[in-house]
Amino acid sequence: MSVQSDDELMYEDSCPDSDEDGELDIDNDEEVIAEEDDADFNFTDVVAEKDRKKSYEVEFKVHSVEGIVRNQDDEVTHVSNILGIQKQHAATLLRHFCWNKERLIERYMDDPKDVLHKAGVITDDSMIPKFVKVPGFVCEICCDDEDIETLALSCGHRFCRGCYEHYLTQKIKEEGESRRISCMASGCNVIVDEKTVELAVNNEIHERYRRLLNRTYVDDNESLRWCPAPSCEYAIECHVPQASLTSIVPTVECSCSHRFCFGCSLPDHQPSICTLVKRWIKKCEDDSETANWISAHTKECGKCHSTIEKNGGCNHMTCRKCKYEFCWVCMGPWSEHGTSWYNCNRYDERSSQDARDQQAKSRASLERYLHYYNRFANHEQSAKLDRELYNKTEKKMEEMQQTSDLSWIEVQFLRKAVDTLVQCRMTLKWTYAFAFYLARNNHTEMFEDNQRDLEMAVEQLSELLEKPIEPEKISELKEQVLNKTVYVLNRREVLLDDTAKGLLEERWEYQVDITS
Amino acid sequence: MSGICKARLTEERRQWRKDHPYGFYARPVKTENGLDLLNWQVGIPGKKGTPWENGVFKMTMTFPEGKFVPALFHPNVYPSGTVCLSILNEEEGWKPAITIKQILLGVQNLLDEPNPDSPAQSDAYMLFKRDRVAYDKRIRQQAKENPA
Repeated sequence: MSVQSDDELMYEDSCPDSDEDGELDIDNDEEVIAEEDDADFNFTDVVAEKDRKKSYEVEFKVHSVEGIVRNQDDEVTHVSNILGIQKQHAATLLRHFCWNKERLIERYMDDPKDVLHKAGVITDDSMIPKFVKVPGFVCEICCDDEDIETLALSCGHRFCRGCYEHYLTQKIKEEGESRRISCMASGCNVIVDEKTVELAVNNEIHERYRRLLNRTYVDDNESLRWCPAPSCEYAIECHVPQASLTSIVPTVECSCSHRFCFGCSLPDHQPSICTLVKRWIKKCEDDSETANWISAHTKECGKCHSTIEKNGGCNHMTCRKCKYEFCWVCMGPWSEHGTSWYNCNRYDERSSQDARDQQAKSRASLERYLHYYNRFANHEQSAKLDRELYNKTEKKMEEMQQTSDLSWIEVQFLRKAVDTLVQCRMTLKWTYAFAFYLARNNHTEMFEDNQRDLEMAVEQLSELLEKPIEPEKISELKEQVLNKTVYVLNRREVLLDDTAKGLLEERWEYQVDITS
Repeated sequence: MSGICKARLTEERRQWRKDHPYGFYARPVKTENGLDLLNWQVGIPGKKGTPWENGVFKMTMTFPEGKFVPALFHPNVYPSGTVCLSILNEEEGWKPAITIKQILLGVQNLLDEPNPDSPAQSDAYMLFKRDRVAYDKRIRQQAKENPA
C-alpha cells in the first residue's frame, strides 16, 4: 500500500502543476470537468475514473476576464459579419438583446430600422450625437445660458456638456449602470449610446464604463455566472437551466478553488437541492434560537398546550389561560398529589405519564427540527474549525519529517486527509437539511443509512487525525489514514451518487412542495 | 449650495411665477437673509371629483428631499411624511430634467391613485385594501381638515 500510494502521491503532485498551467493560461479554454481530484487514491483506476463523469457532477468551463472579452468579441464579429454592420453597433445590439444572437438576427431581418432605433444605434455618421454650440440655448437642467456646448440624442432633448458629464459620472460611478442609462429628459427612454458616453466623461469613468459593459455579458447570460468568492474575477459557464434545479445540484469549482452551486451561487451544498437549501437557511434564521430556548426552558400546559416558562415559585402550576392546575415535575394533575405536595414523587404514576406522553407528542415536531438542526450546526461548526486543524496538521507534518525518515512528499497524505474531512463534513451538513424535508419511506431509510455510514467514517477519520504521533507507529498511522480517507471518499461518492440518481428519477418525496 | 443648484432653483422659481397649475403653490422660505432657495413650502390640491377635492396638502421641499407636513394618511406616504414615488427616487424614475412642476403634478396624481405594490404605512394601506368605503370617508375627512 505504501509503495503504491507514494507513486500516487507523486502523480498527484505533478498533476496540479499541469492543471495550474491550464488555468492560468488565459488563452486556454480547456474544459475543466468537475472531478474529485482526490477521489482516486487507487492509482490504477485514475484514467478510467477521469473519463467517466459521475452522476452528481455537471460539465462546466471556467472563463477568465480576458476569455470573456474574447468570447464577446467573437460574438460581436460574428453578428457584424452576418448583418453587415459595424462592430460597435453589433455590440450595442447584442447587449440590447441580452446576447441572444438568434433572436437579434431574426428581428433584424424582419425590421432593421426598428431594431436599430430601439437599441439606440445610429448608423448614419452625420446623425451621431456631437457636442455643438447652439445660439440662445438655455440648459433646462442647470439653467446656464452662456456660450456652452450641448448635445441631443436621437430624441432631440438637448442638454449641456456639464450636465451630461455630471449625470453619466453619477450613473456609472455611483450606481454601476452601463447599458441602461437613458436620456436625462423626464420619461424619455432613449439609451445614451457608447460614443456619447465616451465624448462626455473622463478617461477613468470611461474605463469603468467599459468594464461594466463587459460585466453585462455575464450578468445577462443565463449560462454564465461570476464566481462569488471575494475578489475572484473568473466566470463559470454551465448549461444547467434554472428550471431543472429540482433534479440537479450543479456544483462547480472555480479556478480560484472556490466550490459553489451554479444554480444559486451559495457555497457547495450537495446533495441538497437549491430550493430546500433556501428554505432550510430561512428556517434556521427564523426558528433555531427560539426553538432551542423553548425546548430548554418551557413546558406545555397539559390541557391547552400553552407554552409555559417557570420563572420562580413552587411546583404547583396554574395555567394562566385555562386555569388547569398541574405539577411542574411530573406534569400530572395537581389534584392527585394529595399530601405529598411540594415534593413530587409521582413521576411514574399513570396520569402523569399520560400528560407527559401528550406533551412529548406535541413537542415532537420541534424536537425533530432540532435533531436535524443540531447535526447540521455541528458539522458546520466542525468545518469552521478546519483552519485550526490545518495548522495542527501542518505542525504534525513537520514533526513527522523530523522524527522519521519520511520526506515532505511522503507526509502530504495528512493534508489530503484534512481536505477530505472538511469536504465530507460540508456534504454531511447538507444531508441533514435534505433529510429534514424528506417524507418517511424506504428511500429515505436508505438515504439515512448512507448518511450514517458516511458520518461514522468521517468521525473515525477525524479521530485518527487528532491522534498524537508516536514515532514508532508512523507507518501504521499512515496506512490507517490512507485507508480511511479512501473509504470516506467512497462513502461520500455512494451517497452523492444515490441522491443525484434519486433526483433525476424523481424518487424522493418531500414533506413540502418544492415547486412553490 | 452649489452654483448649478442655485441657478436651477432660481430659474424654477421664475418659471413657476410665470405660470403654474391651478390651485398649487410653491415658494422658497423667507429668512432674514432673503429667500432660502433650498427650502420650499408647497401646497398640492386634491383633484376635483375625487375624495381628495377641496383639500390642499402641504409639503416642505428641502432639496433634494420632500415630505408632507404633517404626515399624510395615504398608502404611499411613510409615517415620517416622505413620499414613495418613482420620480422622486434617483435610482428609479428620477431624471435631472424633471421640474418642480412635474414633481408636484406627479404627487397630485399619486393622491388618488395609490400604488398598492409599494405600501409605506400600514394604517392607510390596510384600510385601502380592506374597506374602500371607509378609506374614502377617511380621505374626505382629511381633505376637510386641510382646507384650501
